[in-house]
Amino acid sequence: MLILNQLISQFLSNILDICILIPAIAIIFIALLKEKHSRQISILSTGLVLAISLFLLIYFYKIGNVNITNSILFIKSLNINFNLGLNPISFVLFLMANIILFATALAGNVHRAEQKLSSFLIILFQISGIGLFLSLNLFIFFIFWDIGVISLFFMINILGSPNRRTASMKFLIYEIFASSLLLFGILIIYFYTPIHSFNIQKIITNSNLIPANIQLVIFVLLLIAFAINLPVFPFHSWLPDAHTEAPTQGSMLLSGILTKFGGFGIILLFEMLPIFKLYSNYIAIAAIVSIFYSVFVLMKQDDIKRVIAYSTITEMGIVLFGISELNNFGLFGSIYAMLSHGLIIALMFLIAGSIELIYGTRSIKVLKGIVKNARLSAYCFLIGTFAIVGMPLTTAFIADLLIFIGAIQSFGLYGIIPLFAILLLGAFMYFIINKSFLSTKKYSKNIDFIRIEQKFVYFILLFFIFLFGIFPFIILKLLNPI
Amino acid sequence: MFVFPLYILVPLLIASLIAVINNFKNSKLMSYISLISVLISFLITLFVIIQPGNIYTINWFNFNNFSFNFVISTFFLNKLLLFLVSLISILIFIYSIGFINVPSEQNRYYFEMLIFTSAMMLFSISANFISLIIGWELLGITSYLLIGFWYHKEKPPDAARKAITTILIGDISMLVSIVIFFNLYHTLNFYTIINSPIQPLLSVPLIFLLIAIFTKSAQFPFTNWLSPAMEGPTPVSAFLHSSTMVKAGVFLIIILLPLFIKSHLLYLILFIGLITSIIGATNALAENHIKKIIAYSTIEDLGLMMVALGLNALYAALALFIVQTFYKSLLFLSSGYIMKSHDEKSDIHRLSINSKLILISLFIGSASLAGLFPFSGFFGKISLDIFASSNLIVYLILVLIDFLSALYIFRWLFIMQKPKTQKHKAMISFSSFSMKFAIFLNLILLLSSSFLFIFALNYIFPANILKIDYMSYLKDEIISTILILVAIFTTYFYYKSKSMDYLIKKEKNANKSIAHKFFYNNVFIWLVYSLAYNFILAISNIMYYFDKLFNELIYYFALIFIKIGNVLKRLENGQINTYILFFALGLIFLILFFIIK
Repeated sequence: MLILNQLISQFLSNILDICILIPAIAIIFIALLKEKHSRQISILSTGLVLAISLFLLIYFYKIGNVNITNSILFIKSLNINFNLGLNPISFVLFLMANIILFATALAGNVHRAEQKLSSFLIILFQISGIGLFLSLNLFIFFIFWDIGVISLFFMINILGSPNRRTASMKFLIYEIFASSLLLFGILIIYFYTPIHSFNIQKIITNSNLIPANIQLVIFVLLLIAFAINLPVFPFHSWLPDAHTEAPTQGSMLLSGILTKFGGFGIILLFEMLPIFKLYSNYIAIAAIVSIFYSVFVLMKQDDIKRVIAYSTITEMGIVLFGISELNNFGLFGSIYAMLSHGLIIALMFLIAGSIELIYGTRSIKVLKGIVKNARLSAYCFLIGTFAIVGMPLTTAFIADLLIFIGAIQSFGLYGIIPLFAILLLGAFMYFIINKSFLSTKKYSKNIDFIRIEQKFVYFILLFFIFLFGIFPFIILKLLNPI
Repeated sequence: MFVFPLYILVPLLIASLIAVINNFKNSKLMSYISLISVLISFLITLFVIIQPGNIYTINWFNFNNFSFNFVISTFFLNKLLLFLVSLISILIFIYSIGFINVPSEQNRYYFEMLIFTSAMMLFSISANFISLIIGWELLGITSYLLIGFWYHKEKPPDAARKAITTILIGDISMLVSIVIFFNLYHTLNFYTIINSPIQPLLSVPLIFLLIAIFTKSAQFPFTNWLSPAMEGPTPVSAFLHSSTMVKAGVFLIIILLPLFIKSHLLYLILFIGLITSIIGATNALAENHIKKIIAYSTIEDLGLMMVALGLNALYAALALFIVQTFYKSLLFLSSGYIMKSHDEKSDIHRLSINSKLILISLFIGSASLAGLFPFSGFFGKISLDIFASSNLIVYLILVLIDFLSALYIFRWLFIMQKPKTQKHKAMISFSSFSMKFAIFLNLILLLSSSFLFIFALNYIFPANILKIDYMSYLKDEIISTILILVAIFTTYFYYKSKSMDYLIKKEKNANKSIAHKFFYNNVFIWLVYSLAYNFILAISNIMYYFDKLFNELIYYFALIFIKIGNVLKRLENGQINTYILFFALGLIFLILFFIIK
């Protein structure tokens, strides 16, 4: 028993490095081996990390808290460490990212000719996604951020639909602009903290020593960077285009994980800068504007993927709103909302992709009677809609409950305003279901095409949506309020 | 973790799991499995009812020093609703054996029905908002699925969408109300909230709660989803209208009545209830669809229950609640049989009654709905009248509604009962033992409930609920009985004297009359709905074009940089003389600069 414990502790002390090493080795294998193996390697790599994260979930649930750090000295002269670590917040997002990555590698990546490239990019994004949520250091945070952006850029630019060039350039320009602001902000933090460190923990403890006007500059720079990534209203226009042109796996990763980079960043900002608290009301107003703007624009869209893309803006607006409440309910509610949104949106994009594959179109006006030809996909879309609206027993309900309890604590009765956007969103989703899923007024194409992997992924995603919805204490036990 | 009353859900959930996993092709096995599960859960329910009332708490999750619990209670009201739900569910599942005769859709039907039943059972024993909202929203969602059950037809998807959109409004306002309640009281337990001192903001969450209740119980601004919902299968309508779903809202008010009394919201409930019952009664008179007339009568009945609660007459509300269950399911089940034997035709002028059992049950059901002595409906309606008699305006409106309801239900009955010539009929030979058996059981239940109301009132209600001594209000009872008899005889003689051709012709011309336009299908509420819809659409249009403009602006902004780049690109054209020119120009500027300096 003692030996076992020692083994476990040995394993745990290196586990985070292993999580990054697995995709790093896998990517070399994909590059070297033939095309027919690449898909299996990508599934293996994402599956292994998912297994590790599930093991960690069980382990952390048993010991009741989350705290591991690994540290390797990286650049000695600048005092930059390769700090990896998990805290409760990053662990939830880490888990979510691994579930979505596995789902993407398994189902999002089946029907493309360029499997080698596609698998390569998925694994590249896996490194980025895992590394970003594990990083305890702003320097490597930035590096992983850019890896993610670049891998998704190529995914859209090479594997996307016909109009992909402009969309991918738009995406790249927006994201590179965001990451340049991020770099600029990080450098200012580095030079104005007395100890000159990129370590987030050290910055948090020393943040009071940064002068207020410098804090404001950092705050604005980083906020805009993260707001572009989230996205929030004036900076959103890359997202619908990128989603429409991206392949299925690109959409799943983009909405499922890349937008969470911004949410995670905003939470870091909230922890790092005390000045955040002064401007929280403005952030809340920006979030509400973004929520309603996206919902109203969404109601005129004709493309299913575009509708889901705009719903991402709505949901991430709610996440931002939750963080701006500055209390535990809001903060942990928005983490739960990110978990929930990632799982649900990956499901929805997978379904949208498979519908496009069957019918050759994504137009709501043209599509009719999907339930007749693609029964399972239609049912899953229905459940996904219920989950978006916040049905109890799904994750979204817990997220909504926590966020809006916090909202009333912070903003009084004004806090319930975003719920009306969810109402409009839900009403429109039911309209789509009615129009293109149910009514069976002659649409003759009749190819029932669904792979076993895709069925399995539907099952996995729904399983986690309901698991974390019915047993929320699995996650909430870890999220001990600070 | 599991507490005893929750075991009523277990058989249902197991059966629904079987429905998902297995696909019994071309056999009725699934229907028998679900019937057995319902029977078992009825037995457990009986066991729960025998036990003394208790309250159980199950921890769900803890957060931030607050614990979110499921709280389950088995007090009189919970037991009452639980009993009614499980009793009616047996009838419905027996009826469904004959009704759902499409083998490929059986599993889906039983899965949705079982989840629906278990959601209602969870709702009926819940004692805090967490377990309440789970039952509440699952009810809404499964009713959406069940209303749109025949999705390959034209109308059901639209009807289902209307229902779910209205229900969604209720779900969201329920969440709002829960969130505010939590912040006011830091607990979600009903009985703790009722016993706590009154908070100044109490009426705010209660108003949101009322919106949720009105959507589910189809009260005034939200009445319009209930009549299109008749597109669903008949057993679903019967279940929805008799003991589940629409009753959920009323039941919630009954449980939280002390809060509504404290916050002076009873007048609102009374007012909405009166408007709703008038809408229901008048629309039922103008309607021709066999099931929609009963649907409007449900709206009217729910309105009457709201009136009773608005008058703080708990006994009258409960009496209406109980009696309505039996006659409503009886009427629905019988009319489903009639529709089935006429190839799903629905116009009452085209239907006829071919079986003795159906005729008897329709007559008894109608008489009970109209409130004729000695059927149980009488006790519901008369106790409301007695409670209202102190308030003259309300009393007069209620008497008028009683009269109207006798008129429309006997119009419904006598038009159908009139012998039809061959050209009006579309009779097919149809007979189903299980459907008839369910109707027969329901008839017996109605008669025995009447019997209980006459002879054993004290056994139904516990001692702490104020009951009425029916013997001391003979004057009211006689007045109401005479009114109903007048209504019955006028309709009887009117429809007996007119020929069928005349009635059909008259019905065709009815669209032209103003009164018909006014009362038919809630024109004004639809008008308000479409206004709201167009308003949202207009905003959405503006936003959409703004979004397009915004994208264009970004495009032109990017274009500026490209243009600048194009201009600057010309400087580097690779020709050596251009470079020498610039070199010379630069040199001249440099020399000039030094000279001036």
